[in-house]
Amino acid sequence: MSLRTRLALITCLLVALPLTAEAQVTLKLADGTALTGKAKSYDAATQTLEFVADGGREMQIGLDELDGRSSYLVNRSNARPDHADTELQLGNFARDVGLYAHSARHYKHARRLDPELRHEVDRQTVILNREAAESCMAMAEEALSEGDRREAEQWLTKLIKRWPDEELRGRAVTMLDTLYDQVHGARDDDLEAEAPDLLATDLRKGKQYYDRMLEENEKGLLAPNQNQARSAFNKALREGERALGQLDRVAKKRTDAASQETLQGYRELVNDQIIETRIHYASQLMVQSDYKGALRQVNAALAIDSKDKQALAMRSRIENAISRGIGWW
Amino acid sequence: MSKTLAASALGLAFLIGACVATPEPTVEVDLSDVDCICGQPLEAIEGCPHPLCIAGERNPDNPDCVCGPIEFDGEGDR
Repeated sequence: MSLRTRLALITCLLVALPLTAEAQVTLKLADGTALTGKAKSYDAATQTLEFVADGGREMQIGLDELDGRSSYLVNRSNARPDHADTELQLGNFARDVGLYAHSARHYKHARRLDPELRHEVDRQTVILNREAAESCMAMAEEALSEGDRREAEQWLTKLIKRWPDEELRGRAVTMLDTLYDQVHGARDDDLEAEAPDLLATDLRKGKQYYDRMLEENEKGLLAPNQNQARSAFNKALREGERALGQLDRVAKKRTDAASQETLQGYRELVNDQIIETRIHYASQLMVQSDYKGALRQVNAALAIDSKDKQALAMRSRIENAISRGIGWW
Repeated sequence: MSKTLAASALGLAFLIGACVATPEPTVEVDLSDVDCICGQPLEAIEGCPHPLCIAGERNPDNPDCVCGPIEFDGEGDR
């Protein structure tokens, strides 16, 4: 179904909003020009938005002159609330402009409002999943072309975790397997160069625990099923705790300033990896709707660093899912 | 008698378990520290974790936010 047809379908379901308080909004045109001002009204018949830009300039903007995000915003703002067909159409529209999480949310609402729509929702969700997975792969490849392996790893991880059945998974697993050592193995290069004698002696066992933690974390990310992923993440966390314990023991023995600095560097490295593993574990559990399990992992991550942005974001998602039953996918 | 003993043992085990079970650790955090990622590539895939956005409201502090409806300052047409 073309975008224009979809726009027409949504137009049939639009209602106008009553007079409300003024509200500033920024919209973008298809050419990237940003317009800030107030939206006055929307004419469903002509698909035209009446807009007063800052400075008082009155404009009439066709819906197809807006970029994808802005046209989605205008559409959803005019949509009939709590109407299953509208939610379904908004879901399709959001998907077509690349707002995959928004699309998933609309599909969820459509299904809830009218269970009889489930077959159509399922059909559209298959398309959504494929396009979202393709988008993740495209982002990973773009990151690789720019030399950002860390970014590529993140996109590949999301693809593997959320869309394990998609055709792209196999390719993503191969790519991640190659990337992982390059990203993680290099993290302690500076510390290794700083104190090679410490690593060869007192810290040798701690380094082994750390390396095993990395291996198990990778196994968790690449695991073909949920049980193997959980098992691997749990092993990774145990190795991480062993590494920290070993660091504490060595710190009591090697009290010179240089050694203490190296040990502190490794402690931060291990804690960063523990946080990362817990967030991956929490994401895995979220996909399985094990929110309490996910919360446990995120809280353990926040206990290490209460300001970690990824952990805070995860906590927000989980709390909303548990307490209000709302979320994205 | 054996049934009574078994029931008592089970009850005792339950009681001991309840006493020694440690509560789940919680960490006090301020979710207003959660970044609004609307407009960033990650938002398209994961959705924005900001409390307003998750709730389906538009974040007025982020002009790129499309998580909630805009309001119209005028009479609209059907």
